[in-house]
Parts: sequence; C-alpha cells; structure tokens
Amino acid sequence: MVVRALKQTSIARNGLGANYILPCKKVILQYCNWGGSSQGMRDFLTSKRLDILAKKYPQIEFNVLRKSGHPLVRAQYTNGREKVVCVRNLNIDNVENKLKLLKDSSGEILRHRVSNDYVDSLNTSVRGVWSPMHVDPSQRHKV
Amino acid sequence: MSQQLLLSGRLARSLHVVARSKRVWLRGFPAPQRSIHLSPRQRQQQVKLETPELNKYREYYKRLQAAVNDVPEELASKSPSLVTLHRRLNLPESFQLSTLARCLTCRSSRLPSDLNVPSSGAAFTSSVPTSNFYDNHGLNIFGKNLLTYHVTRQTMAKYPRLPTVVLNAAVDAYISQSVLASVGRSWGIELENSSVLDRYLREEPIQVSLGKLRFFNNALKREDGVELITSHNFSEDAAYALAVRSVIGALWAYTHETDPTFAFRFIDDHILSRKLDVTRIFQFEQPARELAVLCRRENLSPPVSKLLAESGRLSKAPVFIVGVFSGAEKLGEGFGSSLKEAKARAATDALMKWYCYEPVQGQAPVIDPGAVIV
Amino acid sequence: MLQVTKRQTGVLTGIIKANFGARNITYLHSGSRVRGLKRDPSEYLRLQNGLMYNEVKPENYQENVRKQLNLAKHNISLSDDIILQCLTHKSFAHGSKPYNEKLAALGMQFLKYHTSVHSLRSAKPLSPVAEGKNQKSINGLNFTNLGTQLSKLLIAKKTTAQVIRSRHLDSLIFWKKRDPLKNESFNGETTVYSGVLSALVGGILVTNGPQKTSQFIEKELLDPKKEASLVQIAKTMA
Repeated sequence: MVVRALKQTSIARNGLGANYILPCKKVILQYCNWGGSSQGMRDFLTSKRLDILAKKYPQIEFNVLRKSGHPLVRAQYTNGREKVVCVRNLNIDNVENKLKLLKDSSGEILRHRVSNDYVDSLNTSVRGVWSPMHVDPSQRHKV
Repeated sequence: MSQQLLLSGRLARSLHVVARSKRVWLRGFPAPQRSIHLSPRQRQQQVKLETPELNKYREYYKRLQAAVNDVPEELASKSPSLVTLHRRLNLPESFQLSTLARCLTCRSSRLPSDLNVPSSGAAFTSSVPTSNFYDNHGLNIFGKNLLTYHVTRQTMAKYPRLPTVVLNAAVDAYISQSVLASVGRSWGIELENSSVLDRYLREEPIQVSLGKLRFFNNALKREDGVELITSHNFSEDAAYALAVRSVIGALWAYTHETDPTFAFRFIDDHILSRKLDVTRIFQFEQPARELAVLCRRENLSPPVSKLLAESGRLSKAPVFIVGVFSGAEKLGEGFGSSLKEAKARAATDALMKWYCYEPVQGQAPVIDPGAVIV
Repeated sequence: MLQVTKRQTGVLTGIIKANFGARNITYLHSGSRVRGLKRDPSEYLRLQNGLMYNEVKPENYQENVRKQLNLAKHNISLSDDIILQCLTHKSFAHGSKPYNEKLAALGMQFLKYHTSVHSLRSAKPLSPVAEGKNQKSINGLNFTNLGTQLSKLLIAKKTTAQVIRSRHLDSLIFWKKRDPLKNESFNGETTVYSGVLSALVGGILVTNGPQKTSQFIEKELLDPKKEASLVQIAKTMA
C-alpha cells in the first residue's frame, strides 16, 4: 500500500446547485379566540395575507392552532430546530413581520459576530497567505 | 376526554402486559406464563375486549394499514407534508404524491415473523405492518445504482488521476449512508415517532402519517424493553438514506422518457453540489519514494529536493522551505521545522498536484494510467 | 548506447547496458529472483502463452478485440492504447504499465445501471417471485425484478467473466497469477476477466459518451439472441 484513504464527508452547500431549499418547513400560528392579546393575530388570520403568503411559499406547511393563552408563531426548520415568537398585543402588520422574520430565518441559533469574523467560508483564500520566506532573498529578514 | 384517557390507560396496560410477555419470550424462559400474572385465557379476553371505542381504534388501524399498503393519490394529495416536500424538491408534476409516500415506506418496517403475532397482541404496537407491494425496496436499489454511477463518473471526470482507493473514498464522501441521511433531513423529511394509539387518540387524519418516514424502529418504542436494532437498514440513518435513494430512483422512472438527464441533474443539484476537498482524503506512507517511481514511469528525470529558504536553523523554531525538482522543473514545495519534514511535505505536494489534476472544460477526456505502485 | 550481451557462468544471463559519457550501468537480471536486482523487461513483460506486451501488433491484437466486440457495427472508435490498457490488469508488470482498475470501476457502475434498467423494463418477472412479494410498477417499470436472483446474476462476476471467455479474449489479457501452480479461484481469474469487460465498457463510456455506450450494451451485451451476451449466459447459469 502506498496511498491510503482517510474517511471524509462532504459538506452541504444549500442553494449552490440550482435548487435552494428554504430552511423553514413548517409554521404554526397559535391564537386564542377570547383573549385580547390575540386581536392582531386574529385580524391576520381573517385577512387575506396568510393566503397570499401560503401561495407564495408552497414549500412551507402552515398550521393554525386555537389554544388559550397568548398568541404564538412557531416555526420549524430543516435543521431540526424550532423558533417561537410570542406576538401578544401586536397589530396585524407586526404579526406579519414576525412571521416573515421566522420564515426567512435559517433556523440556526443567533450569535454575536465579533469584528474580523464577518466572513464564514468553506473555501480557502484565493489570494493566499503572505509568507516572509518567499520574498526576494536580498530583502529577507535574517534571524 | 376522560373516557379517552380511561381507554388509553386500559389499552396501555394491556400493551404493557404484552410487552412484558414479549420480553420474557425473547429471553427464552421455559414457561412464560409464570412471570405474567394472567393466564393465557385471561390475556386473550383482555385483548379481544369488545368495546365500541376499541372497535373504533381497530377500524382506524385497519384504515391506516390499507392506506400505507396502497396509497390512494387523492389521500396523498391531502397530506400537507407530502405536498410541501414535493414543492421543496421542485419535483415535476408527473411525480405522483402517492409515489412520494411510497418512498417513505421502508421494507424494514416489517417485524420478523416470529415476533409478529397479532393474536397475542405482540405485533406493531406503535406502527402498522407494510406489505412488499408498496414499499421502497426496488426504488432504493435502483436509486443506489443511479447515484453510484453518476457520482463515480462525475468525480472521475473532474479528477481523472485519483487513485482507486481515494476515488472510492471520494464517492463515499458524497453518497455514504450518513451523508444521504443528512441530505434527507435537510429536505425536511420527518420521522413518524408516535404510536398508532397516540395518533388515534389525537384524532390525527391518516394522511398525516403518510407524509412521515416509516421504518422498523418506528414499531419499537423506547420503553418497550426491546433493544433497538440499529444495524441492517434498521437505524434512523439507514431509513433516511433509503428514502433519499428511492426519491432519486422514482424521479428517474417518471422522467426518463421525457427528459433523460433530469434525474442526473437532480443528483448534481443535491449531492454533487456538496463541498469536498479531495486532498484531505490522501494519506501517503512514503511520498518521496512514490514520487521517484512516478517520475521514472513518466520518463521524468529523478526528483531532487533542494533547500529554497530557511530561517533560524539554530533556534528553537526553525523553518525550512524545500522544493522538489525534476531537472529544471519544480514539482512541489513544502515547509517544515526540520529538513526531513520539509522534504516529505514537498514530495506530498508534488504527488498531490499530480493526483488531483483537474482538466479544464472542453478538454479531451483524460485516461489515467493508474496510480503508482511502489 | 551500446548493448553488450554477456554470458555468465552458471544460470544467470544478463544484459549490461553501458551508457558512455554518464556513469550509468544497469545490470538486468533474468532467471530466478534475486532481491535488489532489476529484472529484464523481456521476461516480466511476456505472458505464459508467449505474448509480449511491447510487441503486440495492432492489426492482430487490437483488431481482434474490436472484431470480437463488434465495435465497428456500433460505430465506436477505441484507440489502440485504450484497448491495451483495458486488457491489462494491475498485477501485470507490477503496475508499471497503464492498467484498467479505474476504467473497470466506472464501467461496472455503468453496466449495473444499464442492467437494472433492463430488468425494470421487462414486464414479466425475471425470476419467480413468491405470492404477495410483488411491487407496484411505476410508469410501466417493474420494480419487482430488482434484487431478484437473475437480475443479480446479470452482472455477477462469473457471468461477465464468461462473456470474455466466450468471446475468446481471455488469452489476450495481460495479468500475473498470484501463484501459477494454484487453481483459478485462488488466482482470481474470474475477477480479472470480469474487470476486463467492465474496463472495456468504461473505456467506451469515457471516449464515446453514454449514448453510444448504452447502445453498445443494449445491442451487444443485453441482447437475448446473441450467444455471448450477459442475458444468455446468465440464463444458462441460473
């Protein structure tokens, strides 16, 4: 044996091959028929906005759930996570915005990015890394 | 609700007894009756209890079984998870939803016949048995053939000089079971985790189960006292991989007449678009020696390592840059904190450049003479 | 360059290549193996039946292969080098000549794909299937046939090796036996022969494209009327 193989796994790159899969797969809209905090959610559900959204995103499953308590928007993602936002006392526009926020989310936990950590790439740098050993020998620093 | 709870309690108790009897039987006790506090006749009576609720549950179970074993298209079209999965994958209209449901039925959801004794109730407490007629067995075989062929061909076209072991490892990195399982999860396929009884008590429509992945372990609950079998296609990963391969197989079946390349484009999009760094697969044992043999085979002058630059030779942290040359041509370069290390890295670099050679677009196909044997 | 043949005392016969100007003298050894000595190519490049790797004549050797596989009929052009590579196993000359390992790997996958399509398209079951084991067809494709005994036998090593034998290509294959005194199964003859057929398919696939290759497989290897086709051989073996 001269060359041996180490086991590797390929890494997913969603959307690179013509087909982007939206990470959000299911949205559950929970409202209460009695409580005042659900007023905005009830308005949203009775308006045509949900219909329009569901037509635009046929890949998301929309469920409406009546349950007492504050209204919630619950979104499930393809990475197995779930995000829940409480929309109590929000008006119809804000409820829709919260829903869109969850729909657009990748499902990953939000984390603070410190400066110098803005680029997150699987690829190696195209430019390469500067090396002090490859500069002109006459200019090279001697230890 | 209280009635339902009562019923579920009673059923759960009888199921518990069944599970215990099964466990005892599995351990091979000579007289299973001894450890159960019920005689077989009593047990029979409990299972065959005639109550209207139980009959309703039986009917639900039968309907579910009939649906899984031959999915009607109109029932499948009512399943939200099937419809959304279909749209998520951008499958063509001709791809029926009932076939998509079939892709999610694994043959392994069948229990071994000696465990499957419905008269004693020791069968499918949490799942329904599937028939061979409507499972993904054949689809999976065909999907696997398609995947292996296409991924091998594309990888070979991209890297024509990979040694066979590395090529196989690269193909594996794209289509191994664990990778396909993660593809299946990223498609948003869900597992059927609840028992049939739970589904009945929730009054869950049958089509909801059709959109979920059904396999052997669905039939075994964790508290059953039965050990989970995770080998032989029975694990969760295996089930996901089966589903992904079946979708690809079925996609070919629906599109090969109208658009023969559709299924292959689908593989390109979902599998080959993944990132793989082939250089990380290689592990050389004697790079310098292998490079020498390679140069001899390719009629190049023998490789010579030369020191290109160095820093701090006498210090604690020396750095050497070594290039490996064949005649005047530089084949590779490596660094290291010793001359030996730098030389080995340089030879590895040169070999990597040979083996991971990528032809440009439109170039005539490169046929590789094969890896060097030292 | 000057070649001096020198007969030595005893069994050793060698050629001394003396390269004047450079200090480069190589002793090429023939006869029994001696560790550390280079062997004479004329010895390890020759098959037992006398065929010499360096001296194959395209008009005999490659033309014979083309004729046996009916390549001209299917409008397939395969260069002499590729044919020779397809018929050379990794074991020959310690892998110093181009060998067929990877073409065989690719060809085997393509052959597998095509035979499974062939099995899918046959409406009636290839092997008898037990009652209740049928699978529902999709788009007229019979998925019951996959994984049955006959469909597995179509691409089994013994079947593909038999194709090579019945087309009389086996004497043309360059390979080295693990131990010439032992039997075929010990030496892995079936594996080598089956690799050659897959390599030929792989070579055609790489140079002529999938369209022509599938035509070739359909008309040549999966035609039940042909004597030396996979279908016919698998039937006799089952």
